[in-house]
Amino acid sequence: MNTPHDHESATDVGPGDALRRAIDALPAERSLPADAFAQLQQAMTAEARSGAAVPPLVRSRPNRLTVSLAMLSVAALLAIVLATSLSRSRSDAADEAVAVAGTRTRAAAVTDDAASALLPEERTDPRVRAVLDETRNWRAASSDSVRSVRWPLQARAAIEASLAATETALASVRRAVREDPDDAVARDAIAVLRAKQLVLLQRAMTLLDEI
Amino acid sequence: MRPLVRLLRSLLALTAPIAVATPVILAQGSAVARGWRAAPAASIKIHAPTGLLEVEGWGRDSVAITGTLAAGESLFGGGSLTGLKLGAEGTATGGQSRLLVRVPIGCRLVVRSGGANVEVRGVTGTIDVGSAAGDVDVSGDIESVTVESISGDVHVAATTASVRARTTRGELDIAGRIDEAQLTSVSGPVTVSAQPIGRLRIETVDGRVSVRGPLAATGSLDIETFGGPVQLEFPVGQRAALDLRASGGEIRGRIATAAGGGSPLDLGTTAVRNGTTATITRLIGKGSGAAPPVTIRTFRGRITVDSYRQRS
Repeated sequence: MNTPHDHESATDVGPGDALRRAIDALPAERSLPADAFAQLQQAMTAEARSGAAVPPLVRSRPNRLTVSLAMLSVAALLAIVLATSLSRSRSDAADEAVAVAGTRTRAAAVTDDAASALLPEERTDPRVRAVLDETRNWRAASSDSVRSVRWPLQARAAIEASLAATETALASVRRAVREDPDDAVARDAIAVLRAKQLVLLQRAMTLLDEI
Repeated sequence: MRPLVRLLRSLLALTAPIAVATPVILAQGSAVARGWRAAPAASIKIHAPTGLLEVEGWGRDSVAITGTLAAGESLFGGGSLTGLKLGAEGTATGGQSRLLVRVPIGCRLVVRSGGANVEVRGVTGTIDVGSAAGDVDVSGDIESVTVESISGDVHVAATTASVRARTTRGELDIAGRIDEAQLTSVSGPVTVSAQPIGRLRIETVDGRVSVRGPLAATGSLDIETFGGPVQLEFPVGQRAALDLRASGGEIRGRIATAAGGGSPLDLGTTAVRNGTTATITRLIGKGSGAAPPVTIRTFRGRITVDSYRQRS
């Protein structure tokens, strides 16, 4: 015996069949052909090649030129800024360096001249050796950028000028000794001047490290 | 080309103010104001690389620093109640520092300066200033003064028991009431105008030496130069035992006598010559007892001794 439900089920295909029919009634979805991706890749490659062959657009030229010029002008202005801000200190340092170099040249010349004319007793005088050693130490220390960072060039020039002045004085005293070997005052003066050089160099070294 | 010109104009308009302002900004320093507690007799060491450092004694038990620092320099400081170290450090890239440090009046002060000029006033304790290239100026009523500047000038105007001053080619200028002084230069001039002159010793190679003032009864004057000329000026009637020797130079001058004391002494004709050496050994002035010694030695320089009449 059929129940109403059974009847309905028999005459009507039911909701499952209706849904299936409705789905079947929808337009069928096309599947891509198996070589679709390969074709797309070939097409993209071909387009890229053809694009590379196309000359650059004319309007891009002024952009590149403008950027280049702008970069150059900015670089030039920055250079002007740096040069302006540093010019004063550099020129001062250069002037002082020239002064030091000149003084050193004179001092070296005087030292060489005087050394070649040392009195016989000076050649064995330990004070002469001490002064030469201290002078060498001083020049090495004062040229050390770390040790002499706060030591102005004019102070270095003053030390060199003082050494030159005492060497000139020593040369003058030597002449007096050669003229009169018994001149005790002149011989004392040599010892005094050497002592002054030593003290000068030692004070300079002390202050160099303290400042 | 118009867009290009416009762009360049815009860039110039933007960067020109920067170009103008940058050196000004770099030259401006930063303001500083800081303080520390310190004992009245504390040891205080101050460093000043560039610019101007003023140190002033005050009646407070503290140290205060104010002023501006050069660009690139920074302030440092610290220590204890009895010992303090402070100042500027770093390398100045623009402008110069200008600092005022107030310290306890009786402190023991040490200052080290590279190129900074240093002025110390109102400190009664001991003062020790060393500078490479700065000028140093010290004044006040001070226990003792030690000053050295390699290439700068040194000025001391003080009432003090002791002065030690040294320079190479700077000027040494010492004035005031000084019991004892030792002054040294290489080629820098040395000038002393003390009231009175106590025990004074001056050494120089080529610097000009000038001393003016009354010589204390317990004082002494000892001057040694290589080529630097020596000029002495004593008040009329000054008693002194002259011992002058110019090895290759000359001695000259006129010592006036007190009113009614006869004709002035001409040192040029009094000097004894032995070869190129001129010497004078004699007493001048009036009175009795030991006369303060005046000893001058110069190898190539000239010695001049004159007298002046003091204002009544």
